[in-house]
Amino acid sequence: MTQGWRFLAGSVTGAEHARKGSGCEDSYAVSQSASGVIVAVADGGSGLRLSAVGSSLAASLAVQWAQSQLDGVDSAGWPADASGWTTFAQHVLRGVLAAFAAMANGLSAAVPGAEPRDVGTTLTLVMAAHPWLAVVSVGDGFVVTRSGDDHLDLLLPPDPGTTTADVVRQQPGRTTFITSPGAADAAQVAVARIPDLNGIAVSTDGLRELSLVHSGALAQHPHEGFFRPLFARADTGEDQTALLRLLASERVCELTSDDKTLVVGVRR
Amino acid sequence: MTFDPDFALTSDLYESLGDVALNSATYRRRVVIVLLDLSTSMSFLTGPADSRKPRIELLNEQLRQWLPEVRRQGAGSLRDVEFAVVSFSGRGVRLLTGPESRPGPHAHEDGGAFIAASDLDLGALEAFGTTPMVEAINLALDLGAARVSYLAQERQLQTGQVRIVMFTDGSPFDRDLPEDAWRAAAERIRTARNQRHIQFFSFGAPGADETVLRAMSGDQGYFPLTDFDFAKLLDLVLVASSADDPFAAIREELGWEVPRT
Repeated sequence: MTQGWRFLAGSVTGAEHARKGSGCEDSYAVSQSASGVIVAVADGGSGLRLSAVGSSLAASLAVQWAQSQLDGVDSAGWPADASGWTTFAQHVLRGVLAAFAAMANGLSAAVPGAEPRDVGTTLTLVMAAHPWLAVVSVGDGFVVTRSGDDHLDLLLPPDPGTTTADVVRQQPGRTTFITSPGAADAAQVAVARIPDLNGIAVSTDGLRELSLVHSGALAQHPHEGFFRPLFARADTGEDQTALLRLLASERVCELTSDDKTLVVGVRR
Repeated sequence: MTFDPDFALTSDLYESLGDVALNSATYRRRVVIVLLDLSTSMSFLTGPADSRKPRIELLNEQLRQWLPEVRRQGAGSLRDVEFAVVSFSGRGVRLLTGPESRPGPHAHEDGGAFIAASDLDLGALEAFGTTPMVEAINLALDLGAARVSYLAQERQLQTGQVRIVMFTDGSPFDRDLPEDAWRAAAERIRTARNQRHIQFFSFGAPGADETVLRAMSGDQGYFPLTDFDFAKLLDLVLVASSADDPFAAIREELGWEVPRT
Protein backbone atom coordinates (compact mmCIF):
# COMPACT_ATOMS: atom_id res chain seq x y z
CA MET A 1 0.00 0.00 0.00
CA THR A 2 1.50 3.27 -1.07
CA GLN A 3 1.08 6.31 1.11
CA GLY A 4 -0.12 9.48 -0.59
CA TRP A 5 2.30 11.63 -2.48
CA ARG A 6 2.16 15.37 -3.06
CA PHE A 7 3.50 16.89 -6.28
CA LEU A 8 4.73 20.19 -7.60
CA ALA A 9 4.98 20.09 -11.36
CA GLY A 10 5.27 22.33 -14.36
CA SER A 11 6.29 22.68 -17.99
CA VAL A 12 7.36 26.10 -19.22
CA THR A 13 8.11 27.15 -22.77
CA GLY A 14 11.75 28.01 -23.38
CA ALA A 15 12.69 31.44 -24.66
CA GLU A 16 13.74 30.01 -28.01
CA HIS A 17 10.36 28.43 -28.63
CA ALA A 18 8.52 31.41 -27.18
CA ARG A 19 10.33 33.71 -29.59
CA LYS A 20 9.32 31.51 -32.52
CA GLY A 21 5.79 31.19 -31.23
CA SER A 22 6.02 27.42 -31.36
CA GLY A 23 4.92 26.80 -27.77
CA CYS A 24 6.09 24.27 -25.24
CA GLU A 25 7.10 20.88 -26.62
CA ASP A 26 7.60 19.32 -23.18
CA SER A 27 4.90 17.43 -21.30
CA TYR A 28 4.45 15.55 -18.07
CA ALA A 29 1.89 13.26 -16.47
CA VAL A 30 1.47 11.97 -12.92
CA SER A 31 -0.67 9.23 -11.46
CA GLN A 32 -0.95 7.49 -8.11
CA SER A 33 -3.00 4.63 -6.83
CA ALA A 34 -2.83 2.15 -4.01
CA SER A 35 -0.22 0.27 -6.03
CA GLY A 36 2.24 3.04 -6.54
CA VAL A 37 3.22 6.33 -8.04
CA ILE A 38 3.89 6.86 -11.74
CA VAL A 39 5.55 9.93 -13.25
CA ALA A 40 6.46 10.58 -16.88
CA VAL A 41 8.14 13.51 -18.57
CA ALA A 42 8.62 13.89 -22.31
CA ASP A 43 10.51 16.35 -24.48
CA GLY A 44 9.22 16.65 -28.03
CA GLY A 45 11.88 16.91 -30.73
CA SER A 46 12.64 20.50 -31.65
CA GLY A 47 11.77 21.21 -35.24
CA LEU A 48 9.43 18.25 -35.63
CA ARG A 49 5.95 19.20 -36.78
CA LEU A 50 4.00 17.32 -34.13
CA SER A 51 6.49 17.31 -31.29
CA ALA A 52 4.14 18.85 -28.72
CA VAL A 53 1.45 16.36 -29.65
CA GLY A 54 3.99 13.57 -29.37
CA SER A 55 5.30 14.53 -25.94
CA SER A 56 1.81 15.00 -24.52
CA LEU A 57 0.65 11.69 -25.90
CA ALA A 58 3.77 9.84 -24.78
CA ALA A 59 3.59 11.12 -21.20
CA SER A 60 -0.10 10.33 -20.81
CA LEU A 61 0.16 6.98 -22.51
CA ALA A 62 3.16 5.90 -20.48
CA VAL A 63 1.58 6.81 -17.16
CA GLN A 64 -1.73 5.13 -17.96
CA TRP A 65 -0.09 2.02 -19.34
CA ALA A 66 2.32 1.68 -16.42
CA GLN A 67 -0.43 2.28 -13.89
CA SER A 68 -2.59 -0.36 -15.50
CA GLN A 69 0.28 -2.84 -15.44
CA LEU A 70 1.01 -2.11 -11.82
CA ASP A 71 -2.62 -2.18 -10.76
CA GLY A 72 -3.26 -5.32 -12.77
CA VAL A 73 -1.21 -7.43 -10.41
CA ASP A 74 -1.69 -7.88 -6.70
CA SER A 75 1.30 -6.57 -4.79
CA ALA A 76 2.13 -10.13 -3.84
CA GLY A 77 2.72 -10.80 -7.51
CA TRP A 78 5.14 -7.92 -8.01
CA PRO A 79 8.75 -8.71 -8.86
CA ALA A 80 10.76 -9.69 -5.83
CA ASP A 81 14.14 -8.42 -6.92
CA ALA A 82 15.96 -5.89 -9.07
CA SER A 83 16.18 -8.28 -11.98
CA GLY A 84 12.43 -8.77 -11.95
CA TRP A 85 11.77 -5.04 -11.82
CA THR A 86 14.18 -4.45 -14.67
CA THR A 87 12.24 -6.96 -16.76
CA PHE A 88 8.98 -5.33 -15.71
CA ALA A 89 10.25 -1.86 -16.70
CA GLN A 90 11.36 -3.14 -20.09
CA HIS A 91 8.01 -4.84 -20.56
CA VAL A 92 6.20 -1.61 -19.80
CA LEU A 93 8.41 0.32 -22.21
CA ARG A 94 7.81 -2.17 -25.01
CA GLY A 95 4.07 -1.79 -24.47
CA VAL A 96 4.32 1.98 -24.56
CA LEU A 97 6.47 1.95 -27.70
CA ALA A 98 4.10 -0.38 -29.52
CA ALA A 99 1.01 1.64 -28.63
CA PHE A 100 2.77 4.91 -29.40
CA ALA A 101 3.92 3.68 -32.80
CA ALA A 102 0.35 2.81 -33.72
CA MET A 103 -0.88 6.19 -32.55
CA ALA A 104 1.95 7.97 -34.39
CA ASN A 105 0.90 6.30 -37.62
CA GLY A 106 -2.70 7.33 -37.10
CA LEU A 107 -1.86 10.88 -36.13
CA SER A 108 0.55 11.47 -38.97
CA ALA A 109 -1.92 10.02 -41.45
CA ALA A 110 -4.45 12.59 -40.31
CA VAL A 111 -2.07 15.51 -40.89
CA PRO A 112 -1.17 16.19 -44.52
CA GLY A 113 2.55 16.00 -45.10
CA ALA A 114 3.35 14.61 -41.66
CA GLU A 115 5.26 11.43 -40.97
CA PRO A 116 5.27 9.20 -37.89
CA ARG A 117 8.68 10.54 -36.95
CA ASP A 118 7.14 14.00 -36.56
CA VAL A 119 5.78 12.98 -33.15
CA GLY A 120 9.32 12.18 -31.98
CA THR A 121 9.84 12.71 -28.28
CA THR A 122 11.98 11.56 -25.40
CA LEU A 123 10.31 9.74 -22.53
CA THR A 124 11.35 9.19 -18.94
CA LEU A 125 9.03 7.00 -16.90
CA VAL A 126 9.30 6.48 -13.15
CA MET A 127 7.39 3.75 -11.31
CA ALA A 128 7.56 3.77 -7.52
CA ALA A 129 6.02 0.76 -5.79
CA HIS A 130 7.33 0.69 -2.26
CA PRO A 131 10.12 -0.20 -1.63
CA TRP A 132 11.08 -0.44 -5.29
CA LEU A 133 11.75 2.30 -7.76
CA ALA A 134 12.02 1.46 -11.45
CA VAL A 135 12.93 3.98 -14.13
CA VAL A 136 13.05 3.53 -17.87
CA SER A 137 14.14 6.33 -20.15
CA VAL A 138 14.60 6.93 -23.85
CA GLY A 139 16.48 10.17 -24.49
CA ASP A 140 17.99 12.64 -22.06
CA GLY A 141 15.57 13.05 -19.17
CA PHE A 142 16.91 12.49 -15.66
CA VAL A 143 15.71 11.41 -12.22
CA VAL A 144 16.77 12.52 -8.75
CA THR A 145 15.70 10.75 -5.57
CA ARG A 146 15.52 11.89 -1.97
CA SER A 147 15.72 9.30 0.77
CA GLY A 148 16.18 9.14 4.52
CA ASP A 149 17.37 12.35 6.04
CA ASP A 150 17.41 14.53 2.94
CA HIS A 151 19.88 12.39 1.01
CA LEU A 152 19.88 13.16 -2.73
CA ASP A 153 20.97 10.85 -5.53
CA LEU A 154 21.07 11.15 -9.31
CA LEU A 155 19.37 7.82 -9.92
CA LEU A 156 19.22 8.21 -13.68
CA PRO A 157 21.62 10.65 -15.41
CA PRO A 158 20.61 12.41 -18.63
CA ASP A 159 23.31 10.79 -20.74
CA PRO A 160 23.55 7.07 -21.35
CA GLY A 161 27.35 7.29 -21.59
CA THR A 162 29.34 6.20 -18.60
CA THR A 163 32.43 8.25 -19.32
CA THR A 164 33.09 11.80 -20.35
CA ALA A 165 34.45 10.51 -23.64
CA ASP A 166 31.08 8.92 -24.36
CA VAL A 167 29.31 12.18 -23.74
CA VAL A 168 31.58 14.56 -25.64
CA ARG A 169 30.98 12.55 -28.79
CA GLN A 170 27.30 13.42 -28.65
CA GLN A 171 26.01 16.57 -30.24
CA PRO A 172 24.16 18.88 -27.83
CA GLY A 173 20.47 18.78 -28.57
CA ARG A 174 20.63 15.47 -30.41
CA THR A 175 19.16 12.53 -28.59
CA THR A 176 17.14 9.37 -29.05
CA PHE A 177 13.37 9.56 -29.42
CA ILE A 178 10.85 6.83 -28.78
CA THR A 179 10.22 6.89 -32.53
CA SER A 180 13.92 6.34 -33.28
CA PRO A 181 15.03 2.98 -34.66
CA GLY A 182 16.30 0.84 -31.82
CA ALA A 183 14.70 3.02 -29.14
CA ALA A 184 13.99 0.05 -26.88
CA ASP A 185 17.60 -1.09 -27.05
CA ALA A 186 18.85 2.43 -26.41
CA ALA A 187 16.67 2.86 -23.32
CA GLN A 188 18.31 3.30 -19.95
CA VAL A 189 16.82 1.28 -17.12
CA ALA A 190 17.56 1.97 -13.46
CA VAL A 191 16.09 -0.04 -10.60
CA ALA A 192 16.69 0.55 -6.90
CA ARG A 193 15.29 -0.74 -3.65
CA ILE A 194 14.89 2.34 -1.47
CA PRO A 195 12.75 1.62 1.62
CA ASP A 196 13.17 5.17 2.93
CA LEU A 197 12.43 6.88 -0.38
CA ASN A 198 10.58 10.12 0.32
CA GLY A 199 11.11 12.25 -2.77
CA ILE A 200 11.35 11.97 -6.54
CA ALA A 201 12.26 14.65 -9.08
CA VAL A 202 11.90 13.92 -12.78
CA SER A 203 13.03 16.39 -15.42
CA THR A 204 13.62 16.93 -19.11
CA ASP A 205 17.06 18.01 -20.24
CA GLY A 206 16.23 21.72 -20.19
CA LEU A 207 17.20 21.91 -16.53
CA ARG A 208 20.25 19.67 -16.52
CA GLU A 209 22.83 22.42 -16.45
CA LEU A 210 21.09 24.36 -13.72
CA SER A 211 20.26 21.48 -11.47
CA LEU A 212 23.04 18.91 -11.89
CA VAL A 213 26.72 19.11 -11.06
CA HIS A 214 28.98 17.98 -13.87
CA SER A 215 32.50 16.73 -13.95
CA GLY A 216 33.71 17.54 -17.41
CA ALA A 217 30.77 16.70 -19.65
CA LEU A 218 29.35 14.05 -17.35
CA ALA A 219 26.47 14.73 -14.95
CA GLN A 220 27.62 13.52 -11.56
CA HIS A 221 25.10 14.35 -8.86
CA PRO A 222 22.18 16.67 -8.05
CA HIS A 223 22.90 20.30 -7.24
CA GLU A 224 21.63 20.25 -3.67
CA GLY A 225 20.99 23.98 -3.53
CA PHE A 226 18.50 23.52 -6.33
CA PHE A 227 16.63 20.42 -5.20
CA ARG A 228 16.49 20.75 -1.42
CA PRO A 229 14.37 23.94 -1.39
CA LEU A 230 12.00 22.48 -3.97
CA PHE A 231 11.54 19.24 -2.06
CA ALA A 232 10.98 21.33 1.06
CA ARG A 233 8.23 23.31 -0.65
CA ALA A 234 6.58 20.11 -1.80
CA ASP A 235 6.80 18.82 1.79
CA THR A 236 4.85 21.78 3.15
CA GLY A 237 2.51 22.06 0.19
CA GLU A 238 2.02 25.71 1.03
CA ASP A 239 3.39 27.20 -2.15
CA GLN A 240 1.76 25.38 -5.02
CA THR A 241 2.92 27.82 -7.71
CA ALA A 242 6.56 27.87 -6.62
CA LEU A 243 7.84 25.51 -9.26
CA LEU A 244 6.08 27.16 -12.18
CA ARG A 245 7.26 30.59 -11.04
CA LEU A 246 10.80 29.33 -10.80
CA LEU A 247 10.76 27.74 -14.25
CA ALA A 248 9.37 30.94 -15.76
CA SER A 249 11.68 33.25 -13.83
CA GLU A 250 14.12 35.53 -15.60
CA ARG A 251 17.15 34.03 -13.90
CA VAL A 252 16.29 30.53 -15.13
CA CYS A 253 15.45 31.77 -18.62
CA GLU A 254 18.76 33.61 -18.76
CA LEU A 255 20.58 30.33 -18.32
CA THR A 256 18.58 28.04 -20.56
CA SER A 257 16.52 28.79 -23.65
CA ASP A 258 15.13 25.25 -23.79
CA ASP A 259 11.68 24.12 -22.67
CA LYS A 260 11.77 23.10 -19.01
CA THR A 261 9.78 20.43 -17.23
CA LEU A 262 10.13 19.29 -13.65
CA VAL A 263 7.95 17.08 -11.48
CA VAL A 264 8.82 17.04 -7.77
CA GLY A 265 6.98 14.48 -5.66
CA VAL A 266 7.24 13.85 -1.92
CA ARG A 267 5.76 11.17 0.26
CA ARG A 268 3.32 12.70 2.73
CA MET B 1 -14.62 37.15 -13.38
CA THR B 2 -12.87 38.64 -10.40
CA PHE B 3 -9.23 39.50 -10.15
CA ASP B 4 -7.33 38.94 -6.96
CA PRO B 5 -5.51 42.20 -6.27
CA ASP B 6 -3.37 40.55 -3.64
CA PHE B 7 -1.93 38.22 -6.25
CA ALA B 8 -1.32 41.01 -8.71
CA LEU B 9 0.46 43.09 -6.10
CA THR B 10 2.65 40.33 -4.84
CA SER B 11 5.96 41.95 -5.58
CA ASP B 12 8.00 39.05 -4.30
CA LEU B 13 6.61 36.42 -6.64
CA TYR B 14 10.16 35.68 -7.68
CA GLU B 15 12.12 36.95 -4.71
CA SER B 16 10.46 34.32 -2.54
CA LEU B 17 12.32 31.70 -4.56
CA GLY B 18 15.72 33.16 -3.82
CA ASP B 19 16.71 30.14 -1.75
CA VAL B 20 16.60 27.91 -4.83
CA ALA B 21 20.19 28.02 -6.07
CA LEU B 22 20.94 27.48 -9.75
CA ASN B 23 24.12 25.71 -10.69
CA SER B 24 26.20 28.38 -12.39
CA ALA B 25 28.90 26.04 -13.68
CA THR B 26 28.54 24.79 -17.21
CA TYR B 27 29.86 21.83 -19.10
CA ARG B 28 29.21 23.00 -22.62
CA ARG B 29 30.95 25.41 -24.92
CA ARG B 30 29.77 26.94 -28.14
CA VAL B 31 32.60 27.92 -30.44
CA VAL B 32 31.92 30.95 -32.64
CA ILE B 33 34.39 32.39 -35.15
CA VAL B 34 33.57 35.78 -36.67
CA LEU B 35 35.27 36.74 -39.93
CA LEU B 36 35.29 40.44 -40.79
CA ASP B 37 36.18 41.86 -44.18
CA LEU B 38 38.27 44.97 -43.48
CA SER B 39 39.45 45.61 -47.03
CA THR B 40 39.65 49.07 -48.58
CA SER B 41 35.99 49.11 -49.58
CA MET B 42 35.15 49.33 -45.89
CA SER B 43 36.64 52.83 -45.92
CA PHE B 44 34.16 54.00 -48.57
CA LEU B 45 31.61 56.54 -47.47
CA THR B 46 28.05 55.45 -46.87
CA GLY B 47 24.85 56.81 -45.37
CA PRO B 48 22.57 59.76 -46.07
CA ALA B 49 24.06 62.59 -48.16
CA ASP B 50 24.28 64.98 -45.23
CA SER B 51 25.99 62.55 -42.87
CA ARG B 52 28.11 60.21 -44.93
CA LYS B 53 30.81 58.37 -43.04
CA PRO B 54 33.34 55.66 -43.83
CA ARG B 55 31.78 52.25 -43.37
CA ILE B 56 34.54 51.26 -40.96
CA GLU B 57 33.74 54.26 -38.75
CA LEU B 58 30.11 53.25 -38.60
CA LEU B 59 31.12 49.69 -37.72
CA ASN B 60 33.41 50.92 -34.94
CA GLU B 61 30.61 53.09 -33.55
CA GLN B 62 28.23 50.17 -33.43
CA LEU B 63 30.84 47.84 -31.95
CA ARG B 64 31.26 50.23 -29.03
CA GLN B 65 27.60 49.70 -28.20
CA TRP B 66 27.50 46.02 -29.09
CA LEU B 67 30.48 44.74 -27.13
CA PRO B 68 29.15 45.75 -23.68
CA GLU B 69 25.88 43.98 -24.52
CA VAL B 70 27.77 40.81 -25.48
CA ARG B 71 29.73 40.98 -22.24
CA ARG B 72 26.51 41.48 -20.29
CA GLN B 73 24.90 38.47 -21.96
CA GLY B 74 28.11 36.57 -21.29
CA ALA B 75 26.84 36.17 -17.75
CA GLY B 76 23.53 34.81 -19.00
CA SER B 77 22.41 33.49 -22.35
CA LEU B 78 25.94 33.61 -23.84
CA ARG B 79 27.68 32.14 -20.82
CA ASP B 80 28.85 29.06 -22.73
CA VAL B 81 29.85 30.94 -25.88
CA GLU B 82 33.43 31.77 -26.77
CA PHE B 83 34.47 33.93 -29.70
CA ALA B 84 37.45 34.22 -31.96
CA VAL B 85 37.30 37.28 -34.21
CA VAL B 86 39.39 37.28 -37.37
CA SER B 87 39.88 40.09 -39.87
CA PHE B 88 40.96 39.80 -43.47
CA SER B 89 42.39 42.77 -45.33
CA GLY B 90 45.54 44.04 -47.01
CA ARG B 91 47.29 43.53 -43.68
CA GLY B 92 46.61 39.81 -44.03
CA VAL B 93 44.49 37.50 -41.93
CA ARG B 94 44.68 38.61 -38.32
CA LEU B 95 43.29 37.56 -35.00
CA LEU B 96 41.46 40.42 -33.32
CA THR B 97 41.00 38.42 -30.14
CA GLY B 98 43.72 36.94 -27.97
CA PRO B 99 47.26 38.09 -27.33
CA GLU B 100 48.72 37.36 -30.78
CA SER B 101 47.45 38.95 -33.99
CA ARG B 102 49.33 36.40 -36.12
CA PRO B 103 47.69 32.96 -35.94
CA GLY B 104 50.23 30.68 -34.31
CA PRO B 105 50.31 26.98 -33.48
CA HIS B 106 48.76 27.54 -30.05
CA ALA B 107 45.93 29.87 -31.09
CA HIS B 108 43.34 27.16 -30.42
CA GLU B 109 44.46 26.57 -26.84
CA ASP B 110 43.23 28.30 -23.71
CA GLY B 111 44.82 31.73 -23.56
CA GLY B 112 44.83 31.88 -27.36
CA ALA B 113 42.38 33.32 -29.85
CA PHE B 114 39.16 32.26 -28.12
CA ILE B 115 37.63 34.64 -25.60
CA ALA B 116 34.58 34.05 -23.41
CA ALA B 117 31.63 36.24 -24.38
CA SER B 118 31.82 37.87 -20.95
CA ASP B 119 35.35 39.10 -21.78
CA LEU B 120 34.99 39.92 -25.47
CA ASP B 121 36.61 43.19 -26.48
CA LEU B 122 38.05 44.57 -29.70
CA GLY B 123 40.17 47.61 -30.45
CA ALA B 124 39.27 50.13 -33.14
CA LEU B 125 39.20 48.48 -36.56
CA GLU B 126 40.94 49.83 -39.67
CA ALA B 127 40.18 49.20 -43.33
CA PHE B 128 43.04 48.53 -45.71
CA GLY B 129 43.90 46.79 -48.94
CA THR B 130 42.70 43.52 -50.42
CA THR B 131 40.25 40.76 -49.44
CA PRO B 132 42.06 37.49 -48.59
CA MET B 133 38.81 35.71 -47.86
CA VAL B 134 39.99 32.22 -48.79
CA GLU B 135 42.92 32.36 -46.39
CA ALA B 136 40.58 33.60 -43.66
CA ILE B 137 38.12 30.78 -44.26
CA ASN B 138 40.83 28.16 -44.20
CA LEU B 139 42.12 29.59 -40.96
CA ALA B 140 38.62 29.55 -39.45
CA LEU B 141 38.03 25.93 -40.43
CA ASP B 142 41.40 24.82 -39.04
CA LEU B 143 41.10 26.91 -35.90
CA GLY B 144 37.56 25.71 -35.18
CA ALA B 145 38.44 22.05 -35.64
CA ALA B 146 41.51 22.40 -33.46
CA ARG B 147 39.52 24.17 -30.74
CA VAL B 148 36.82 21.48 -30.69
CA SER B 149 39.44 18.76 -30.42
CA TYR B 150 41.32 20.66 -27.71
CA LEU B 151 38.21 21.24 -25.60
CA ALA B 152 37.16 17.60 -25.90
CA GLN B 153 40.56 16.16 -25.11
CA GLU B 154 41.94 18.62 -22.61
CA ARG B 155 38.81 19.91 -20.93
CA GLN B 156 36.23 17.18 -21.62
CA LEU B 157 33.86 19.82 -22.94
CA GLN B 158 31.09 19.15 -25.43
CA THR B 159 30.93 21.76 -28.19
CA GLY B 160 28.66 20.77 -31.05
CA GLN B 161 29.06 22.45 -34.41
CA VAL B 162 31.41 25.40 -34.72
CA ARG B 163 29.56 28.47 -35.91
CA ILE B 164 31.47 30.52 -38.47
CA VAL B 165 29.95 33.92 -39.19
CA MET B 166 31.40 35.96 -42.06
CA PHE B 167 30.71 39.53 -43.08
CA THR B 168 31.92 40.93 -46.39
CA ASP B 169 31.15 43.68 -48.87
CA GLY B 170 33.35 42.36 -51.64
CA SER B 171 34.82 39.40 -53.50
CA PRO B 172 37.67 37.11 -52.50
CA PHE B 173 41.07 38.43 -53.55
CA ASP B 174 43.91 36.35 -52.18
CA ARG B 175 47.09 37.75 -53.67
CA ASP B 176 49.03 34.48 -53.57
CA LEU B 177 46.23 32.15 -54.64
CA PRO B 178 44.57 31.44 -58.00
CA GLU B 179 41.55 33.56 -58.79
CA ASP B 180 39.19 30.62 -58.41
CA ALA B 181 40.67 29.42 -55.09
CA TRP B 182 37.36 30.28 -53.48
CA ARG B 183 35.84 27.21 -55.15
CA ALA B 184 38.07 24.88 -53.15
CA ALA B 185 37.24 26.86 -49.99
CA ALA B 186 33.54 26.58 -50.77
CA GLU B 187 33.90 22.83 -51.22
CA ARG B 188 35.75 22.57 -47.93
CA ILE B 189 32.96 24.46 -46.19
CA ARG B 190 30.31 22.33 -47.84
CA THR B 191 32.02 19.15 -46.72
CA ALA B 192 32.36 20.43 -43.15
CA ARG B 193 28.70 21.48 -43.19
CA ASN B 194 27.56 18.10 -44.46
CA GLN B 195 29.62 16.36 -41.80
CA ARG B 196 27.92 18.60 -39.23
CA HIS B 197 31.24 19.98 -38.07
CA ILE B 198 30.27 23.58 -38.72
CA GLN B 199 27.41 25.93 -39.38
CA PHE B 200 28.40 28.65 -41.82
CA PHE B 201 26.70 32.02 -42.07
CA SER B 202 27.62 34.71 -44.57
CA PHE B 203 26.25 38.23 -44.46
CA GLY B 204 26.83 40.03 -47.72
CA ALA B 205 26.55 43.81 -47.77
CA PRO B 206 25.99 45.64 -51.09
CA GLY B 207 29.02 44.89 -53.23
CA ALA B 208 29.46 41.34 -51.95
CA ASP B 209 29.78 38.54 -54.48
CA GLU B 210 26.51 36.65 -54.19
CA THR B 211 27.69 33.72 -56.32
CA VAL B 212 30.66 33.09 -54.07
CA LEU B 213 28.76 33.51 -50.81
CA ARG B 214 25.90 31.30 -51.90
CA ALA B 215 28.35 28.60 -52.97
CA MET B 216 30.06 28.78 -49.61
CA SER B 217 27.04 29.03 -47.36
CA GLY B 218 24.36 27.19 -49.24
CA ASP B 219 20.98 28.84 -49.63
CA GLN B 220 20.26 28.33 -45.97
CA GLY B 221 23.28 30.22 -44.69
CA TYR B 222 23.53 33.14 -47.11
CA PHE B 223 21.96 36.37 -45.94
CA PRO B 224 22.20 39.33 -48.32
CA LEU B 225 21.98 42.70 -46.61
CA THR B 226 20.44 45.67 -48.34
CA ASP B 227 22.52 48.36 -46.66
CA PHE B 228 25.36 49.02 -44.24
CA ASP B 229 23.25 48.95 -41.11
CA PHE B 230 25.94 47.66 -38.76
CA ALA B 231 23.68 47.72 -35.75
CA LYS B 232 21.49 45.22 -37.55
CA LEU B 233 24.49 43.20 -38.69
CA LEU B 234 25.86 42.88 -35.17
CA ASP B 235 22.41 41.96 -33.91
CA LEU B 236 22.36 39.18 -36.49
CA VAL B 237 25.81 38.02 -35.40
CA LEU B 238 24.48 37.79 -31.87
CA VAL B 239 21.49 35.76 -33.05
CA ALA B 240 23.78 33.45 -35.04
CA SER B 241 25.86 32.97 -31.91
CA SER B 242 23.12 32.42 -29.40
CA ALA B 243 20.03 30.86 -31.00
CA ASP B 244 19.44 27.14 -30.75
CA ASP B 245 18.15 27.18 -34.32
CA PRO B 246 20.21 30.06 -35.70
CA PHE B 247 19.22 29.84 -39.37
CA ALA B 248 15.53 30.12 -38.56
CA ALA B 249 16.20 32.80 -35.95
CA ILE B 250 18.14 34.94 -38.43
CA ARG B 251 15.44 34.58 -41.05
CA GLU B 252 12.91 35.64 -38.50
CA GLU B 253 15.06 38.59 -37.45
CA LEU B 254 15.27 39.65 -41.10
CA GLY B 255 11.53 39.32 -41.47
CA TRP B 256 11.82 36.47 -43.95
CA GLU B 257 9.32 33.67 -44.00
CA VAL B 258 10.57 30.80 -41.88
CA PRO B 259 10.21 27.57 -43.87
CA ARG B 260 8.42 24.72 -42.18
CA THR B 261 10.53 21.76 -41.24
